[in-house]
Amino acid sequence: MSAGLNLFLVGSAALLAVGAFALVARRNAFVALLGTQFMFMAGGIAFVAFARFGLGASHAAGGQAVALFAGAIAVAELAIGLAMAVLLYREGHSLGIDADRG
Amino acid sequence: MSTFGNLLAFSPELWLFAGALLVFLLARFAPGTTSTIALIAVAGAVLALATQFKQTITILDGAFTLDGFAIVVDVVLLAAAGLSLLASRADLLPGESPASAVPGFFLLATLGAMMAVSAAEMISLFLSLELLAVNLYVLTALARRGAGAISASLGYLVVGTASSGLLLYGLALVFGLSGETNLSAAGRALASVNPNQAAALLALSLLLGGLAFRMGLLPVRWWTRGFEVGIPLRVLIFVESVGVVAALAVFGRFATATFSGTGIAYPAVIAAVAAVAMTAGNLLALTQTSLRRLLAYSSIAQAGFALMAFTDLKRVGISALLVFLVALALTTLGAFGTVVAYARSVHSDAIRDLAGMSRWSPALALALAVALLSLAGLPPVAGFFGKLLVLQAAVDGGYAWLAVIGVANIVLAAFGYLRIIRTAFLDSPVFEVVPVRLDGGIRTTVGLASIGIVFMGLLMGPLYAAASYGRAALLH
Repeated sequence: MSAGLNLFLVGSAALLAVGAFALVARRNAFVALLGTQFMFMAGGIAFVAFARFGLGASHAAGGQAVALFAGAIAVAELAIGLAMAVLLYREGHSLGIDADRG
Repeated sequence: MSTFGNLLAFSPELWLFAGALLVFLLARFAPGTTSTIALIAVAGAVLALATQFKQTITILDGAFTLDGFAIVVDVVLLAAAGLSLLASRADLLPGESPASAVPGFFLLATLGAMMAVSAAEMISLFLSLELLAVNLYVLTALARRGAGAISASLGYLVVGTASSGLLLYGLALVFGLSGETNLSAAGRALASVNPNQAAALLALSLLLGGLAFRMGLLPVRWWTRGFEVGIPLRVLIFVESVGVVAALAVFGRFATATFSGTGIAYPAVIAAVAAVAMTAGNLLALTQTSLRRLLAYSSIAQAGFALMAFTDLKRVGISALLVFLVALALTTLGAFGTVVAYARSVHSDAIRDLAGMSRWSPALALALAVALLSLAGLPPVAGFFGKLLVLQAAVDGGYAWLAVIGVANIVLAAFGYLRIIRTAFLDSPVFEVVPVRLDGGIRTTVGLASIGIVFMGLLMGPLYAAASYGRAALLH
């Protein structure tokens, strides 16, 4: 394993952790949606890093394609999430997700 | 293979897709017809699938493999989708407009589920699962009721998207460890490379964590705010049957293709999750006072039971899983169907309001009792056979302690569910209930599900043969 791979993996793991933290710690809809995007991009970066440096270099195109499609899906989910956030704001003039209030 | 051959292999999926397009067109011009169109599309997909039995088709250069496993699960998925569509028409409050595009999203979600169980490549797997997930997000938002329900939908979307992020990272680790994006090729590579145990187990945990939400392993409390507001039961029935079956089947294919041939200690991780999920799910379910919440929490226990089958993937685990999934789909449809049907009369899902159910609507009370017995896993109904095979798989896999916990959970669940049956049959009614004339769709759903639950024991021979056929396809 080269130093490059480790760098990218540490970076993507940090991105995943930041995204997960944003979800757990904040109940604001926009911050939560941003957190989910961080988590998606972390996966995409890991795929590309493995495709460039690691064992994945033998099937580099496959790994890169996953990252591209994952980015597209992330945007699709963000679009639906933002539409919901707009509805949420129109109903209550707040962006809090209080999902746990059973 | 030629493009035309590929299209033919996709014909069940094309039926669903065409049906969804037609529903979206007609939602504007003839809103009353959409659920009928959706049912016709599901029926067409079943017929198209029937022409593909007994052959393995590789589609799009190995991106999808339509093998015995996929076909068996597809039949379960289509049946569950059809029955939840039938039940969904009864879950409308008087005067409520039926949001006529909703059946279209049911179809697209089913399409995603069917593609996910036949996906053999990381890209197609992830894309199909997301097709399923995105349509479920839209469903929760479109069919919601009352103020504040959109917050529940958004909560569902956020947790679902985060799960997909974990799943993607898990896939990336498997790709990094094996250097392959094809699932079986990745499995072969992992078996020969003998990767770092810790990294492989981390990948497995991320994958399991990503799918846990879709398997119903996480407590999803936002389904269960006040009854008849929030996310309606017709969406919940669909998620708990089609969504859960698809996620468990996908994990079955993935774990078999990628991990079962390697020396990675994957069964230990899965056994630990299964033990915790079963016990926690049942304990949470027992403390509930609302039937709808009880069913939502018991789905955690059911998913934990299903995971038990993964401890013995090399031998009978997949057959046990497939039989369990059939029983699970029938039981979920039966149980939630009765709640929807009885709620038309009492407008409540509190367990204490079930008192006198056997007097006001004896047929529904019987259906509820059958579904709850099956949920607990008591003989001689469907849930018993599913759980028996899964316990057998755990013992064969060398996890006898897990089987002991499983049996203890069956006993625990039986006490909880028998309490509800006692309320429905023996307690004297608190108030007068006027039985409502039920829509034919929900009667068909509850009837068919109950018949399936009661008579599954008689059909165990052919069912087990089909499950073994599915297992053989995965193990080559």
